Amino acid sequence: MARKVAIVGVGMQKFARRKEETLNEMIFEVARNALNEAGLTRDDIGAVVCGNAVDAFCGIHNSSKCITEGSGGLMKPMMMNSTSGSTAISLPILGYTHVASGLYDVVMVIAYEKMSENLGAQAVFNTCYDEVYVRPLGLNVPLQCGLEARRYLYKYGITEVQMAKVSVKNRGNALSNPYAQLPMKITVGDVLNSPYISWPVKLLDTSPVTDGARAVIFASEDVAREITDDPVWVRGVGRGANSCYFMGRRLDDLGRLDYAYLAANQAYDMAGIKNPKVEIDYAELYDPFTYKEMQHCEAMGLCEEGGAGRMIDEGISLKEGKLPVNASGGLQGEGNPIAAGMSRLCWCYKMIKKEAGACQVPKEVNTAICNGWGGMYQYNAVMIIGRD
Amino acid sequence: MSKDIKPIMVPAEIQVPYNYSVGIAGSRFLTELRDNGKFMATKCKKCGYVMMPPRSFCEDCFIDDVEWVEASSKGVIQTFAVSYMSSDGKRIKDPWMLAIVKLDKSDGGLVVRLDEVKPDDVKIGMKVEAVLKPKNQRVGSVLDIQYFRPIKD
Amino acid sequence: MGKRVAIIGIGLTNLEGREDLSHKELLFQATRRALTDAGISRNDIGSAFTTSYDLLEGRSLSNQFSLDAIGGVMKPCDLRLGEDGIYGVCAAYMEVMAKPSDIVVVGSVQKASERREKENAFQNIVLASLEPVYNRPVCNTVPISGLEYALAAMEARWYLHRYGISEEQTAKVAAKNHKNATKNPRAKNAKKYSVKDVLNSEVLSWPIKRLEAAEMTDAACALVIASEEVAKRITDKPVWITGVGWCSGTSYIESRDLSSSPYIRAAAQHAYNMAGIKHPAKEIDVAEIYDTYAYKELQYYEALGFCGEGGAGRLIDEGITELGGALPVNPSGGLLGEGNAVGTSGLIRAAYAAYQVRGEAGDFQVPGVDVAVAQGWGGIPTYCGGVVVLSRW
Repeated sequence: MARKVAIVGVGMQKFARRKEETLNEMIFEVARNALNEAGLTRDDIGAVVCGNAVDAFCGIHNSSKCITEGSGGLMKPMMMNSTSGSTAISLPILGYTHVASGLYDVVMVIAYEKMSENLGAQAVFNTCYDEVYVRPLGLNVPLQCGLEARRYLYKYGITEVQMAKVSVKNRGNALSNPYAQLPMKITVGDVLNSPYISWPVKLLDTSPVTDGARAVIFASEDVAREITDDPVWVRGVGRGANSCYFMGRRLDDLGRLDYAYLAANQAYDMAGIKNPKVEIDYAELYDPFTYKEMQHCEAMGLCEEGGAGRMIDEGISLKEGKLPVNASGGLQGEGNPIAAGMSRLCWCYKMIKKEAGACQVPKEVNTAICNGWGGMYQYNAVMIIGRD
Repeated sequence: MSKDIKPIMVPAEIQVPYNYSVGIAGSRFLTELRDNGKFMATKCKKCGYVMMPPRSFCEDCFIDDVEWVEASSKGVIQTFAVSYMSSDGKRIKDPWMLAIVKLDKSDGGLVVRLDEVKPDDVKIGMKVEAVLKPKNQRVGSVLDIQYFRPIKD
Repeated sequence: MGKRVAIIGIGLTNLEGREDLSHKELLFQATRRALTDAGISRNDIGSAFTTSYDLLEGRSLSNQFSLDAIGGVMKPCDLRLGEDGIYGVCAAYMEVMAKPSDIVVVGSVQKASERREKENAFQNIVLASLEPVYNRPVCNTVPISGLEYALAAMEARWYLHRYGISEEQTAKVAAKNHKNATKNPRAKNAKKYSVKDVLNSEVLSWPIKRLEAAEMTDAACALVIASEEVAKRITDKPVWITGVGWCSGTSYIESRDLSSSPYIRAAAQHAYNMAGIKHPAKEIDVAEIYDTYAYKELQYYEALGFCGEGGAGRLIDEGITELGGALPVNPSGGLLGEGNAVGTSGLIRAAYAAYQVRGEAGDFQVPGVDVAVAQGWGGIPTYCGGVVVLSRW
């Protein structure tokens, strides 16, 4: 039988376009912060789970072996997981299974990314594609998103104005976030006037390139109850994945994230949640592009399929709305160090604990959901946390 | 950290050369494309799914009992993207386009270039056909397909 | 916990260059065999994951491309360990115990044939894994083709010096494994070499000779791992995973204790504690360990508790780890004998150890195996690895 697992501390740091620290120095900051918050020492850590999305960005093959010291994992069990963008949540899920399995009582999870070390990011991204059928075509990330976003807007009648509203919301929310890289007070007009990356995605629909790390400490029920009398439990985890042959999948429409629906359903089943719109109080969803937040709202069941446009139009996902999404600013406002998008989980935790500072939403938050997305329209990892 | 010390950076490059194996399915696909200008797909004998790009195993039934069938060189645009950027990130005047085209007589498709059409005239659902390089210029690569263009009625 | 985890399916391809197959096709073969061996279909799979390294594959986000071949399409699979395959067994163990899935497929593939070794692909990858400020600039000034061996030789030289291990003793390990591999039908490149052949082979960087360094090869391996309830229902030959352990030592090459592998000692400790093993040399019947270089096998004898500190030379001299000895090590031939499918090799070690427990190792079966140990290493120049204990009951 799986044990109950709680989050007992998170480690934050400012995201930036370029951090001068080495990986070890950057990671030490968040690991130290998380331990301080949880009132634990390095000796208390049973195991460490770490991950980044692309080694080619930080320019060190097998970089996770270079961060033993900074992560607190010296002479401890350390395991590295990397599943492109969805690492943000698939990584803490691995941390969760370390504890739920009964093997370890306290696990430190470190997500990190140093994109600035690499001077040719686009060339690196090109190496993410299938070498026979896609790479020679010169696909890059802007085009990859243009292909998907166009299909999404076509399928459900979503508009560029609705996408722009998500950008305005998130960048504005980030103004309250002390760790944010690019908080901005902008208007829908500003977004619509920004240059196209690839229709319908514009510059201000796109999250920035970022360096940064995050830490989360998971603990077994016994340990959690010693640390706090208000534990935040992992209530559900879900993972979904689809074929790498995105151009030829069964029953597939790029506008609908089948694998994300799969992941969300798994998490909801585990959490015993039947009506997400009512039972989920808050969400931090992976928004490297504004339309992704919208697709994820639908896949997570926070609105009906195709209803994300209505959701933003009616102000439901605003900070003061009925079901706030990304009050931290999300990747748009806080920054997108791919794997360290684990920040979404950190903010869910902070919202529940009422420790989100100026980002705190007015409504009561007991249950929150977060997700990560990655691969060639392939992966989604979902985590639901909350009080009993 | 002392404020007098300026951050130092160490330059380096990672050069790793590869020769990827295209595999059984890919080798047949590219050979037929090069030699005969055909788009070959594989059909799973159990579920009947016609795979494009062709795979030597069906990832759903999880068997390698497949047969080769010919797919069409014509198809329908599922989605497309327009770019005004050159390879070194500069803005250019004449855009280039990529599309995901579902090929007729198959259940899948390919990522392809689009040409002989203006970006504003391209629509999801548009019928398109392949334009291959002349046979003596084809080398057994997916780039033997020059581009797809709208089918003129 | 009252619940156990077992390997119920094993799939392993031959170890040989396969330029004709794509990496997905090779991985499919292994997974297909594992599913058939377990008697389950893709529908039964709870989740599937892989172990892989982007640069070894030549694909960034390489996790994307193995999904189809491990049966993971539209399943809750979003896990890819950037670790040696042995960690896959450890993660699958936790996955089953934590209840996300009852049946887990772990698959891993290596295609050394896709790396242009004539242009030093792997050596460049080793260079790229070095710490970029202090180590890499120095190693960048040396001819790249010798880098890997020089790095290993620094440790080997110290180890031999510290404990008085002789070149002949490391050569005996190599000869043992090359010979063992000739009995292994999967080891397509196996060839018998005498101790003298090994000693006379080209010195790559002293003390490492060419026949003491594993050649790289293509291979794929998949294991089906399930909960006790499923295992008892499906198979009458479950291989119980009774202990797992893994550990990372310091990342600073300069700070390492080169005379031992403390990370394996710690990993083994954890695994043995779980399995209730107090005297490894007596209680373990066979071991499949990571012999990328012959001296490493000796170091791992000590770290795994098969002998005391510095006692590895005696073990090989007395033939204890030969196929007919009291504690055979690498009866399959190990990496030296069959080739190193870098990154997948740890999973392959677990597969062979599992075959031993089942009594299905054919010509290199060790009689009466109740407990087997499999060990993996993160590979040069890392200082981390894992240990898995497998039992018949």
